Amino acid sequence: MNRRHIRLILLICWLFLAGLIVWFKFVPLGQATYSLSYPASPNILGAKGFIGRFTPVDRVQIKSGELAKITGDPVYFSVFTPRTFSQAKVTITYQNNLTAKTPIISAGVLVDNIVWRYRLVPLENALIDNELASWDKLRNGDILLLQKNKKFGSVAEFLTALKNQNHNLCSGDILDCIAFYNTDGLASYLPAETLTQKIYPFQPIDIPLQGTHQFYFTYEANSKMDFAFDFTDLNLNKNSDPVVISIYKGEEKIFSQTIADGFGGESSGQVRNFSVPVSYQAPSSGLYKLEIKAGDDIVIKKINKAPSALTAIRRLRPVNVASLPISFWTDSSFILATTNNPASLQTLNFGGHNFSLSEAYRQFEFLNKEIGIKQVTLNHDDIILENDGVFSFAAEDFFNPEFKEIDRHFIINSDLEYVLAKYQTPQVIDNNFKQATVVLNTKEAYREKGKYSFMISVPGLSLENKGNLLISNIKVEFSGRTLWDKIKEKILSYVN
Amino acid sequence: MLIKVKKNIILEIFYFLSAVLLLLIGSEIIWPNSVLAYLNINYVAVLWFLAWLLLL
Repeated sequence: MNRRHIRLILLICWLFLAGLIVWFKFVPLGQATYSLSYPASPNILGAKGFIGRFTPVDRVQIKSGELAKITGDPVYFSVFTPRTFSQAKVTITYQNNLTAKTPIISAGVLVDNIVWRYRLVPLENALIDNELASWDKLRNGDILLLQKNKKFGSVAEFLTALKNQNHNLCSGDILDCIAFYNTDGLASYLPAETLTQKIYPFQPIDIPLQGTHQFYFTYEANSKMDFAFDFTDLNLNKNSDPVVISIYKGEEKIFSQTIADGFGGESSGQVRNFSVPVSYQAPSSGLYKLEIKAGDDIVIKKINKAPSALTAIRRLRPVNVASLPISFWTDSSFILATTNNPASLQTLNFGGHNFSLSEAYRQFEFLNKEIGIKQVTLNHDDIILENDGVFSFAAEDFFNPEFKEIDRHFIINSDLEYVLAKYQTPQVIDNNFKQATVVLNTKEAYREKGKYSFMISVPGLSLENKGNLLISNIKVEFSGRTLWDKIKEKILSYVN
Repeated sequence: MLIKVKKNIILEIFYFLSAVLLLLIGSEIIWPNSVLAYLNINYVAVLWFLAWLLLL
């Protein structure tokens, strides 16, 4: 073999390597699978890998030769992909050492980096698997219907009865007899919008609310869907502070208006007040959702006008309130309270019981399992209040149009007759290990520096609550457009 | 004669490794993590350095 032959062979090797790099960069077949195992196998090539470490480190214990032990909620991991994909199928193999206080495990992907929102999909729900194990089960694809007493022969039959609100569906109130779990995409079957027929008169809301908030409101057709907001831009953060006001009917966004921040002065602390009127002519009466999306520099100082009373969905952050104490009303059995301000530490009242918010930068969970509407009274503002339902600003305005969701605080009472869930029970494999797969839509997921951010959530899990989740393997199968699909799309765009 | 042939082979390998290093570093600059996700480039750099030492 002469020098020429060697040179030719090495040239072919180089071209092969270059081809390999291009292949792995563009993933022409549109499918790529990445996995991470615990204990980790030897990294002979010194590769950085695709799946990042779990964060924050204080919620995960990783020791050499052992499984990853999750002891806090939530934990995050990122996955680097060389290109974008439209779907991620995440398969997690784990050992469930959780207690009855933490029955739910979910996984999700970051979809909104402004409000830090992850779209979560269930991995395991012990309430459905264990507490309702004796109920009659019907399945249609990934939709599961549980019936206390078998009335329907198929899921489709039940959905039709639900959509038409059949009188013999429930013996009591429909909102108490049906519970849902992970029913995104089933919204068209939910009669919730027709349930709230009463229009609660609007009273101005002068409790300033910081950052993003969502509200339910009812609307009567042929009247005006007018809103008027007073905002304050605190200009404390370095980024500009646009405000996006959107209106949803069910899951569909029917109106959106962006108020750009063209005034500058970021990080200066110079406070700027501005007012925004919103007017929209909606075609039909019923229940709507208002979303005001903004960063923490924006305070909704006052809501002067709305078509009906507003109830805040899941989250409230009152700040700079003129007169304290302030009260809200909720029908949830728990509230999560957090403050980043030491001056806001206090004893708050939830349904007649006092609870101590004694530490800043820590989320406290306050439970009150009494049934009915409960008053929440705060002696100081600058607190983030969260729950699984709604908060109203006056007792007489309270309305919650949502069906009950099977979360970790869910109480299976005698009124409950049906559970509708988009849920697959995890597969049990050897040595008490389980394997659950979730399919996540990554088309709208947020991707930064080539990385998608994923979350594993076990609500309520903390070192105090004991219990842990041992992760053995994470496999992420991405799929998306092939190179041929992309070429076809380009050709079609040129032709058209 | 044999030493000369060996030296030529090492020289070719040295050129090859230089081109590979350029390819890997270039790819990594253009498409971050496209190489480091699979391989630590330092290993190739060590091989390249060994080839250079053998040429001396």
